[in-house]
Amino acid sequence: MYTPELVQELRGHEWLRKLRTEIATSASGFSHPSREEEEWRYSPIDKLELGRFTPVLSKPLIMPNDAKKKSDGFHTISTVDGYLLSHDQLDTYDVHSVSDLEEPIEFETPADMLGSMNLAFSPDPVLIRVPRGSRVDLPLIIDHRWEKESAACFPLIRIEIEESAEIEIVEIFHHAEVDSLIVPETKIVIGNGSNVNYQQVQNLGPNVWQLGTLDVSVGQQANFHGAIAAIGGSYARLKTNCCLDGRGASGKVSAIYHGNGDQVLDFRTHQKHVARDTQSDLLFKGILDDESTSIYTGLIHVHNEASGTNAFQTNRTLKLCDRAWAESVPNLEIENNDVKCSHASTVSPVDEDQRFYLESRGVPTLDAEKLIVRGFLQEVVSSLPVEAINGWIADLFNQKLDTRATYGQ
Amino acid sequence: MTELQIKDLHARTPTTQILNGVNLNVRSGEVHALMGPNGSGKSTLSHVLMGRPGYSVTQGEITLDGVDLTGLQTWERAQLGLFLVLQYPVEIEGVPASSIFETSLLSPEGDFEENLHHVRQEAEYLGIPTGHLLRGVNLDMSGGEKKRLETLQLVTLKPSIAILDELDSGLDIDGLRVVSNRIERLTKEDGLGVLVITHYNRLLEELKPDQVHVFVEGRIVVSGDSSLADELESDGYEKWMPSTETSVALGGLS
Repeated sequence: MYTPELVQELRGHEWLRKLRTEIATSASGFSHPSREEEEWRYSPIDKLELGRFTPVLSKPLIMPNDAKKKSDGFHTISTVDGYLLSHDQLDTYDVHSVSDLEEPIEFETPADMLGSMNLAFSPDPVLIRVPRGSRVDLPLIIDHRWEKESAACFPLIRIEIEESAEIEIVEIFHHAEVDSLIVPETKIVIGNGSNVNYQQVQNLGPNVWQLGTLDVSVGQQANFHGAIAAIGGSYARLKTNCCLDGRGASGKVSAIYHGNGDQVLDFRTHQKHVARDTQSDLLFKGILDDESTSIYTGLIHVHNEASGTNAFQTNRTLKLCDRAWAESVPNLEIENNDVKCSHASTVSPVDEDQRFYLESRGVPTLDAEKLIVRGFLQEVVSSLPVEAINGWIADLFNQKLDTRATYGQ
Repeated sequence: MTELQIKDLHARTPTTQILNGVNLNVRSGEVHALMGPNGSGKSTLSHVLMGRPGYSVTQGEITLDGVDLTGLQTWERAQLGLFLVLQYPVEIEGVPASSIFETSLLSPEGDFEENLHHVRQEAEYLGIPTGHLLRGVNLDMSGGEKKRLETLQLVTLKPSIAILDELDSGLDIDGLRVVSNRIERLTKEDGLGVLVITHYNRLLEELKPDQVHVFVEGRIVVSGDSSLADELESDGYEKWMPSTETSVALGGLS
C-alpha cells in the first residue's frame, strides 16, 4: 500500500514529487520496526499493522467547526489529516505549503522507516520561516485535527528560525474519535542567538496510534525551551532529539504525562551535545493509572568536541495503581572529560505517609491523592514555556484526573 | 461536650504486638499528658487512634461520642473531630498548606477568602511567614517551623480532640511558648480536648495537664495529677519499668 506509485497521487511540484518517489523507493529497503531493536524496546510496535491504515490522498473538504476556537490572542495554523487547512500570514513570519513551492527546499535524509514514510507520504508539508531579528508578538498555535477513519496521517512541520529571532510555538494534536495512525514530524532549526519556546500538547483520541518525532537543532548562543504534555492516544510515542549545535547553545526539555486504561505512553529522548559550552536540562514527570504503561529511555551524548557541557536528565513516574507499569532507562555517553552530567530516574507509588498526613487533616483519600499528584506535576507545570496556554494544559490534566473515581486499586 | 474513649485497646503491626490494653478517656477542654520511655508505644497509640495503615486493632475499642472509630478511614476520623499533630510532619512537594485548608472537610464553610484571611491572622500570631503557606507543606522548613505550621492547621481546622505527638520537639523556647499558649487558649475558649505526648515538662508547664499518664510497654501503668510529671522529671521511669530480673526470667522461658 505504501508504494512509490501511491505518492504520485499527492499534490506538489516536480522536485517534491521526485523527492517523495525517491524516498518511498528507498524506504522499501527499511525493515518494519521491531521491539528487538533498542529504540523500540518495551514498545508494542510488533502489534502495528500498517495495512489497516490508508494514507489520505486528497484534502478533506470538511472544515473543522472549531478550528478557529482559540484564535484570539494567538496566530494559528490548522491542519487536517496532515493537510494544511488555513493559516494566518504576518510580517513577522512566513508560512508555506511546501507543495506550492516551485523551488526545492532541503530536507535531511530520513534515518529510519518512519522518517521516510513521513517525508514520502506527507501530503502537505508546512514550512514556517521566521526571519532574522523577528519578534513574533503572539504565540503561534499549530492545530492538528483528524477527520478520516482508519487513516494514516503524516503531518510534517518544518520551522526555520533565523538569527536573533524570538517565537513561541504551541503544537496541539487534538482529540478525535478516530482509529488512525499518526506519524508526525516536527523539525525546528534555531539560528544563532534566537530564543524559541515550544509546547506540544498530545490530546489524541483513545484509539489513535502516534509515532512522532520532534527534532530540534539549536545554534550558537541560542535557547530552546520545549515541553510536552501528553494525555491521549492508545500507543503514543514521541522521539525528541535536541541537538546543541552551536557554542553556548542551551536546550531545556520537560514533559508531563498521565496515562490510564491500557494506554502506552512512550518517550525517547536524545540530548546531543556537539559544540562547546552547551547546556541541556531534561525533566520528565508522569503519572500512571489503571493498567497504563510509560516508557522512558533517554540518552545524553556528549561529543568529543563539546567541552564545558552541562547536561542533566531526570525522569520521575508516580504510579496510582499497582497494575500500572513504568520503564525508565536513562543513559550517558560522554566522550569529553570537561563536563557536568547527571541522570536520575524513579518510579514510585503514592507516598503512604503523605496520604496519611493529608487525610489526618480531614482531606478525603481521593482528594488527598489528587493533591499529591498535582503537587508532583507542579514542578513541571509551573515552568511550562508558553505561559498563555498553561492554564488550559493544567485544566486538561485536572479533567483527566477528575475522571478518577476510586483510589489505590 | 465531646469524649474520646479508649477501652482495653490492643494493637499490633504485622510483626509486633505494641499496644497491650490502653484505657483512657479525653473530654472536651481536658488536657491529658502521656509520658513514657522511648519505644513504649506512645506514637503507635497516636497512629492507631488516627487509623494509620499498617496497624491492626486486635482487641478493645475507640469511640468518639459513642461512634466506633476502628473501622473508619483516617479522613473520616478527622471529619468526626479527631486531629493528630505528627511528631515528624511529612514534606509534600507542590501541595501548600493553603491547598489543605481549601480541601479539608474540617475547613469552616463560607467564603474561602474570608477563611484565608483568618488563616493569615493566626499564622501571623504563630510567627509563620505568609510564604510558608504557599510553598509545599513542610518543605525545606526547620523542625520548629514545621511544628508552628502543624499548630496553625490545628487552630484553623478546629477539631474537637487533638493528639499532639511530641509537638515540642524541634521548637525553640519562644516557639514552644507561643504554640502552647495558643493551644491552651483553644482548650479554654473552644473546649478542645488534648492528649499530649511528650518527654519534657516544659510543654506541660504551659499546657497545664489535668492528668498525667505513664505509658510503659503499650499501656498506662499509672495516672496522676501534674505532680506526677514533676516526679518523672526527677526520678525517671525506672520505678514503673518491669524489673530486669523478670525480663531475664521471661527471656529464659522463651
